[in-house]
Amino acid sequence: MKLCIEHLTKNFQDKKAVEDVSLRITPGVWGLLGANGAGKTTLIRMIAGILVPSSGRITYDGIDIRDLGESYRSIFGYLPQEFGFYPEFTVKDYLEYMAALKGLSRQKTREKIDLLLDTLSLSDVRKKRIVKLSGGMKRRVGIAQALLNDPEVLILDEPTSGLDPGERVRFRNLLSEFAQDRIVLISTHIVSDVEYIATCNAIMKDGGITAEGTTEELVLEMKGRVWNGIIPDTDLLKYERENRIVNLRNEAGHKISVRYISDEPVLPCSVPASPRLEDLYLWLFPQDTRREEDMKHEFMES
Amino acid sequence: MKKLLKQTLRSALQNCEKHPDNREALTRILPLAKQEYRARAQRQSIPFGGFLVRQIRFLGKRVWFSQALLLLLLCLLVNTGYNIRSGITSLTFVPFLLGCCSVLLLTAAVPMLYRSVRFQMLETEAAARFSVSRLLLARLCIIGSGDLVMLTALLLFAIQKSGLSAGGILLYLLVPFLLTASGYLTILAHMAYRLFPYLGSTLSACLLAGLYYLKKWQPAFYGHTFTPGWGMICLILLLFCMRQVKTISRRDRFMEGQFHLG
Repeated sequence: MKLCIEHLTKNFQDKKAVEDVSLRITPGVWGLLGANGAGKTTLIRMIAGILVPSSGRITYDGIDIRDLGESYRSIFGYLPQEFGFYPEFTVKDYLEYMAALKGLSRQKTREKIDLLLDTLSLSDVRKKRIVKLSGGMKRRVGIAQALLNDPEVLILDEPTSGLDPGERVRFRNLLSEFAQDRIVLISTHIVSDVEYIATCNAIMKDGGITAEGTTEELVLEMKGRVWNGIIPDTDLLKYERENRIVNLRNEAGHKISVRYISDEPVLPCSVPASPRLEDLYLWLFPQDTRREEDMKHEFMES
Repeated sequence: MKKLLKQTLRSALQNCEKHPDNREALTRILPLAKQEYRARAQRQSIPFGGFLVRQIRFLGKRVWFSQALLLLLLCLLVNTGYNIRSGITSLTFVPFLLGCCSVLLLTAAVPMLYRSVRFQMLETEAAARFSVSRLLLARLCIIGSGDLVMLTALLLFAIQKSGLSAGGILLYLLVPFLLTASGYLTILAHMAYRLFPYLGSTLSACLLAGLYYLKKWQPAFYGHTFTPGWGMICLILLLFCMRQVKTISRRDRFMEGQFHLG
């Protein structure tokens, strides 16, 4: 079981959304990380077969997915980043509708719906109209439809958006269990979604893959670049402007413990810290920390 | 396990004891075993007919109910039109009205055919086994069957109500209907899906305007009856529609142009 992406490119008018991406995806959980606008969703849609690449190809077990057609879609499960529901649908109606679209028999539909509603704690709302559910519940309904046909390839685009921490943990555990002998690809900008369950990760930036490897290999790149320091709370703004700060924690005696990324220690009392995948992400996408800092400064100056 | 594979395997195992180095048996078994594996690996799935039947529950009731309401309205319209314009003027007015009704019949289907985009279901549906093309095909079948019933009901009502010939009524119901259907199906088969409601509505408006123009400036147009010539035109339009339906069932580019960069 192997999904091969070969020199995939997608152009939209004058912009390259995905540029010359190649990946070999084997069974297990894969994380596809990147900031907003990196090209993750466009790549995901091409893997799902709903967007045609401008060039390159995607093969499953050696056969182009466009040639496989229905056969590929029958083993495929997909949760888009944004999705809607017909307003008259209850949870059960929606899952039955999607089961029919996926070609499941009535018997199989009944069995799978009962199992998935129970697994995803949706049994109490099976007859409730989806439009009346909370955002997190709607997301779980979306996950349920992706799992209806026991897919061999499961693609999830920002799957934990709207889920509370408890739901996220349950979801991660569900995926870990599900991913044995299957390909699961999670596209996200929330690193913790994949950090503990992904066997491999690919990081996207400006339409291309900038880094690829197991979590341990990628984290190793940040060795010697992550530090813990202690600063006076009065100096916080000054150091925030000059350094890439990942985390802050108030300490006793008007001090702040700071976790930051730098090639060398620059803050007082700095000691090396164990790097995490999130540190690599923030190293590669500094604009994500800068935007947060700008918002914080605006708030404090007002 | 397939019978041939079973038999080949049995004889090979029996020979194995006598000739342990005989690889010829393995050469015969291997392709049969691969074939068996591939057959089992393919998932069981409902056929398109089964899928269509299940769509009736989700779509059919809603569509047919709307069509029944529309039919009631159109019959009322024809009845009122006939009552207002009786005698000579009804010979042009009623056919004109029937032509408009058949265009409106199909125009009412536009929201149903565009539902997936309106409610952001398109992406999820496109990634499923039957995908957007087959789903559209199912919707066209459901809507088409309702339209057929409605056209027949309108035809019988108009024959009963007006004094016009059945051939004339059939002509002014069928030709505008097939023209509208041809246009809609061509748009679905070849144009960007997001443009369908706009282009479809524009087409309907143009056809209605054309029917009105003919009534105003070429009233003799509404004095025809269903001749073999018109029958040939209807047949050509019907064949054209079927060809477009075939193109729709094979189309895989419904999603292009739907998205922003991401």
